[in-house]
Amino acid sequence: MNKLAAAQAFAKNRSEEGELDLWGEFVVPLYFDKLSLDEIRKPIVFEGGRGCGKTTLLRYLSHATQLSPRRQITKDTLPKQLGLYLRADTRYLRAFQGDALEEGDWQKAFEHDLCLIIVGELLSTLKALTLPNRIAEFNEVQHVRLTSFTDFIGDAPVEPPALLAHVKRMRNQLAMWLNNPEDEAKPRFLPLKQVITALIDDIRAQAPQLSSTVFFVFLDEYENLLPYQMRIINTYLKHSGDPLVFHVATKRNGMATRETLSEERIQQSHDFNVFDVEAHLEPDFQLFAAELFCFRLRKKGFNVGPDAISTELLCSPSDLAQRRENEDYKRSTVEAARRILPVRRGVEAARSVLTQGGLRNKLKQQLDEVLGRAEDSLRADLFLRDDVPIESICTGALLHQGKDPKMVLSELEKAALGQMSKFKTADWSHTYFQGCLYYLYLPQQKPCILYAGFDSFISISKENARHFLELCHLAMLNVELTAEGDIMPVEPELQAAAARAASAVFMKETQGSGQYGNRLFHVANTLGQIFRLSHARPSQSEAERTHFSVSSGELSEEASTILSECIKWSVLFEVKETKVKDTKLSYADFVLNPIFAPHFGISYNKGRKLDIKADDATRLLVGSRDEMNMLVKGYQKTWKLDEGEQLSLFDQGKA
Amino acid sequence: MRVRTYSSTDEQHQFGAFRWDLAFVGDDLDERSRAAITLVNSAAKEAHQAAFTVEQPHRLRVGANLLGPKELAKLIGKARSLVLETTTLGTVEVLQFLRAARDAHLDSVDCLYVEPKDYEKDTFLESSWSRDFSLSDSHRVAGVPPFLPMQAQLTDRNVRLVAMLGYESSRLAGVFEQDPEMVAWRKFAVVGVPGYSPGWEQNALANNVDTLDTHQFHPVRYCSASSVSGAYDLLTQIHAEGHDENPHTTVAPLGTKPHGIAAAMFLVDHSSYQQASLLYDHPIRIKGRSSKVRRWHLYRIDLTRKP
Repeated sequence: MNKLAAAQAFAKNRSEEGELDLWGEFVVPLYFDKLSLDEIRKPIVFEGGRGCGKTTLLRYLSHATQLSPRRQITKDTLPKQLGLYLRADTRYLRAFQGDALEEGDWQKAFEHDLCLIIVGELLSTLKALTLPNRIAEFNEVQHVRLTSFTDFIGDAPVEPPALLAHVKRMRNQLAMWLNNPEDEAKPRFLPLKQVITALIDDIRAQAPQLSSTVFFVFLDEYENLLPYQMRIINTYLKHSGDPLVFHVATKRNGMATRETLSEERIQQSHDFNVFDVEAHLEPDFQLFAAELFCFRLRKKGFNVGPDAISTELLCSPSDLAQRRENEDYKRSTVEAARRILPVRRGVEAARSVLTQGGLRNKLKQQLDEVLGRAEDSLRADLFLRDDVPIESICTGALLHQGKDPKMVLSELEKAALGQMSKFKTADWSHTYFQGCLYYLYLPQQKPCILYAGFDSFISISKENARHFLELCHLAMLNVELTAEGDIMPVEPELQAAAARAASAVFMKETQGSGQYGNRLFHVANTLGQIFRLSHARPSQSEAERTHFSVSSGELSEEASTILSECIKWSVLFEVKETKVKDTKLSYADFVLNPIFAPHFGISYNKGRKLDIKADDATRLLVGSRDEMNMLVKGYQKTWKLDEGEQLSLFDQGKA
Repeated sequence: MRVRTYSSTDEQHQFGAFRWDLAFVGDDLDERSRAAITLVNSAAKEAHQAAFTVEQPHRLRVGANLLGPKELAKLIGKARSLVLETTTLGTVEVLQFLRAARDAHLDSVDCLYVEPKDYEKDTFLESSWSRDFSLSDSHRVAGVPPFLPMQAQLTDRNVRLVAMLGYESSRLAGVFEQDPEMVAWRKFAVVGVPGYSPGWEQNALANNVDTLDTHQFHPVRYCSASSVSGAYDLLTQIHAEGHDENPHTTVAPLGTKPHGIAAAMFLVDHSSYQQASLLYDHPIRIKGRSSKVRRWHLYRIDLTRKP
């Protein structure tokens, strides 16, 4: 056991990096029983941003994990529904279009491809049940003969292993034809539903262990499909039921059409239920993240968290209630994570500002900017008091708001004496302290200390396990061990630096966000800079701005598309509000993903809002680089003027 | 295939004497595009504009017509000499024309390419990404027949990705996001060193280093940014490594156009028996993406040589 192992525990944080078999690896999310998979036969649309765990969940629910060779399976423990996992492969599926064929033929070709993949998955489940140590329990499965397949392809073998190889050849033939439709013979296209249900009938009739098994098809990355391909899948969603149920996973706004192949459209609740993965993660995310944290470290041999943390408890859906309801377990798990990733907040954070040269000087400078103008100026040092550090840090902003320095000083004195002061009664400390901290750290090389701590990591990662794991990964690179090999708490400064490094990684990663990745990156960058400018206002009159709404008009269609892409790729989160604004009954706020906050040095909380006029929002979303720069410069100019006006008001007051 | 390269800083001196029966050109996007199109239009008896779109993956738009592979080969087969204006044509168009020229039994194809003096840089306030470039906007990974891989085979084969890298870091990050299966493959990167201008290669390296690191690429390989033959040789070399293991090489030409031409040659050479496939993000190039003209190149590709 060495300290590198602590960082390695978090190195794997993308679902693609893992195997399909997640048995003993996947920490079952605490919402799992809300899926009610044993009862429902209605399709689920799993919705959520990248990194929230859709793919791992689907893989966990599929046969590679359900029937993992590492698992003991008997007739009694065999899942009632077996999952067949497939991913919409962009590169391949986009070749199924164009006027080389009529759209009806493309539909058949796509269904054929889908059918072959599902048959392959179905046969793989049979293969998994006939592993040598399972033969005794599932003897009949190895004797299954899939004769119904010969109704569609006359010369196909009926033994599952031979049919699996045959289906693979058929997929190759399809790819050959797709590569050269002019030269290669068109394959005979299979009707998906008929083929799959016929095979399931064969299986159910011949293998009593599977006589009532329902097969779930999990199609991942639905949003990558072409519109006609979505219509086909929508049709299968509409007509799902025992023994074949389709489920899909998609990013937000990923269901571009509700149409089916017929006149009917699919309707939420009636034809499918939406399962918002992030919304379901949210209530217990703190515990879930702490469990992940302890579990991964324990797997590397570190003694972190309660002994109950184990594969048996976390990787099984049967103990969810115990995890959710046992207060001792919850407290000790979260505390274990907090102990290794401690915060530095409140008085402690304020004290460290007053003791660090650069930060103290910045505060002094902030005070001097105001005090220097008055005739009978007070000295800035009078406002920097170690006995009331939080209050001291707020004084810079209060003075910039035009408050009388003598009055502020007198309130500071009251606070120091333990008397009631406006820092409490007028909420000065509560309103301005955090904003002032961000302000003081902005010009510094070091990132704001508020990014450190397990609870800060939870807020910054916002129900995104991948973001949380990467924050831990980078923070744990700095870990030290005791002589006994236990993990020591990671210094908050090092954690904050790790948060900023992880933030930059994910910011850069937005460039890969689909078709408009580059544009999304520029939107996030422009918005981040605008919020940073807002944080840099010495008065902190609009503290911690991290979201915006669009006012005075409508966005252009092109801008709406980019806004929708921003939500789809989790660059922005949409928060719907129901109240009258601009004659509209409901409107939305758009929150910049808090994972980007450390990179820009801004708050990760949903603080104040910036109203952006529709014209400017259009520039932000679809403008040229110059227009985006102009927008940033515009805010810079306006806010500088605002600050200047407030100062002049104060000067007048003095006169 | 083999390549002979003619290069000059003055188009009239070396290139004014070339004559062709048939030429294909792309969109006029910047100063060098205009210069290249003007030269080709005056030196070719017949010139057509051509474009590939992801919505018509089995066709190529030539003038007002959508042509399939056979029609394309027929059109090309009428000419004795052919030039592709590759400053303006995209990599996929070059690939489809090369394939058609081989099917039409042409002996050689000329590719004209004009280097820019400078590329358009992103100038963002306080941006930490000061090396980023604005060369294209929309990126969609989509397959190009006949260079699609056989999905069912890939799991059993020694699959490797060769990414030819350029200045726009979003492109490599994007292909990984849109084709995550690649995470498990062996990965190689080719960077254009030296770049068109001293120091430019730094852009390709600096802008892609995070993605290269994240996805654990093999050590980066280098060849001159303007060398088609060098890039072709590198591709062939990488493909030959581990030849006993039934390799499949997926090429992602995300870098300079000469490297794109090399990728096209390699793919046409190796498309049989599913030895190679293309991974491409079809960027929509931005108007005014570069300024002025640096050097002119004519790459004469000999189609009669077998790999």
